[in-house]
Amino acid sequence: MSDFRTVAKLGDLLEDVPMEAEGPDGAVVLIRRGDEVYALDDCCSHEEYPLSEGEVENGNIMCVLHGATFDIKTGRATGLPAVMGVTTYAVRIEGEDVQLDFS
Amino acid sequence: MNPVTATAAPVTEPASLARIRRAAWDRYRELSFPGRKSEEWRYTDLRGQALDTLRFAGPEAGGLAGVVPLDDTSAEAALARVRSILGRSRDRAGVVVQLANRIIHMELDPYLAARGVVLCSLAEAASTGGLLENTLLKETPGEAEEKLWALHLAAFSGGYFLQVPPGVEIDAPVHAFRIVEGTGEIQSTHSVISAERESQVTVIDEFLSECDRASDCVSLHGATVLAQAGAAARYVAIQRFGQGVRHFGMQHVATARDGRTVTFNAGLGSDLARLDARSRLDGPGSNSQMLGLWVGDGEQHFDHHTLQHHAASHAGSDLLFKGALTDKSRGVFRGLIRVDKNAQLTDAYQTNRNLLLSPDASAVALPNLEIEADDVRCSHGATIGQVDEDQMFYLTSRGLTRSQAERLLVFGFLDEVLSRLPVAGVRDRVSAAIVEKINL
Repeated sequence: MSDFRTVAKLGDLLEDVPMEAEGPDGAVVLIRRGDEVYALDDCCSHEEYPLSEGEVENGNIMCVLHGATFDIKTGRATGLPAVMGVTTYAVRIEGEDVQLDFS
Repeated sequence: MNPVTATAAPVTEPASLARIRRAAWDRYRELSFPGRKSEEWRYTDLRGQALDTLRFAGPEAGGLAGVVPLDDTSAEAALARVRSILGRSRDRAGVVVQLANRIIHMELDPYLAARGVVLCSLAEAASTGGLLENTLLKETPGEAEEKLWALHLAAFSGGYFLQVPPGVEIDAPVHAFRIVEGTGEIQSTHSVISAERESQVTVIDEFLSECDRASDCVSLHGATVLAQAGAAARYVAIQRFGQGVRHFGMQHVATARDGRTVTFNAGLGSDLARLDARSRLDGPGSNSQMLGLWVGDGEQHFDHHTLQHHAASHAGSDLLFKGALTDKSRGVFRGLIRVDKNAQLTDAYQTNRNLLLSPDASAVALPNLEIEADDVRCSHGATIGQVDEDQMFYLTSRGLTRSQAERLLVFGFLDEVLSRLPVAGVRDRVSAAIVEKINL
């Protein structure tokens, strides 16, 4: 059974500006691209710094601490020093509500 | 045991303690929780600990006077457990037993009392002018630790004060037990150990809880260890909490000219344990040894932050922290050697080694140096590795099962830290606690 809960409002999300939200397993970072919103663990796989402090460019989010980058759609590590990806979450958009599956 | 201090009657709080509590509470409310952006709290998110939802003996609750008295059965059970740990051994200078928010037993060798050694509750020490101000409050935490430190003082619910007068050497350890009991509570105690000129003392703080008597509890514990000129102070903390307790330790050690301090931290229990251990070398010729080990299983989380602060020249410090982790447990070590500009001819070492026993266990090692002087010897190193397969092969070829061999290798790995503990009786106690934990 899925259990979608609202974690943010679509209107609060700006294009390519990461935002921190409370997800099913702790903090997640939300990134909006057009009508799509992507959710990843808010934790760089290198030294666990919050990714929500980072910047988004060309579909990648960069951690500000050491410059590791991750694909915002797949969570795959795309730039050193990170070699492992980060977990991604399915996002549902219901009108203005950005929802994540908490089941 | 003949309790000399049994505080079954409701406690009234000395005015000076209430003042400290009130000031700390105001500070706590002023400060915001450090987030994961701070180096100190990256791996243990303090904001996620929901500390504000727990009950504690803060100023709003009337301090110690507002604490609910314990029933006799739990006090009896606690004393029985302490007796079984102490066994028949008479090799101790004193015993303190604190259960939840009460000291239920305190004894000191009468011979030592006659020589001027003072062992009393912190509440009693607070009523003697200046004692706490000159010890506990003199040492201050780092900026990132201040919020928790303020809560620690505001939620203060017990602890003891030990003072050893000049020239008095206590061979046997003072053994203090602290037992956490309750549901959804913060219990905060402090140990103050003051070794005056040329004195010598060894103290063990042992932390315990029963799984069925403690749930969702947070233990805050501070230790202030002050070794004056030529004094030798040894402080050992054995953390053996059961599940249902999260533990935050804050230790401040200061060593004066030609003084020697040894601290030892064994992290064995609790769901989450964080330790901030600081040792400052205040005088030339002083020496500080910091030892630590942790054994994690299940989903235990250990987070250690250490500081060797060289504030004077010609001083030495050595740190050895080792962790063995299995299942999904996690160990973090972040250590810093700081050498002030005037601290020339410093000799400082820092070593952290980790043994991972399962693919889901993880260790983080962050050794750091911050050196402002230009004539020093400082080195640091960290390793994370698995069990040596050759050693494993040798032991299993001698008839041991893989699991027996693994436990033996873990004990051997940690023995390097244990063997540096200078008092044999204390070493046996720590070693017994480790054997119990790893089921050897």
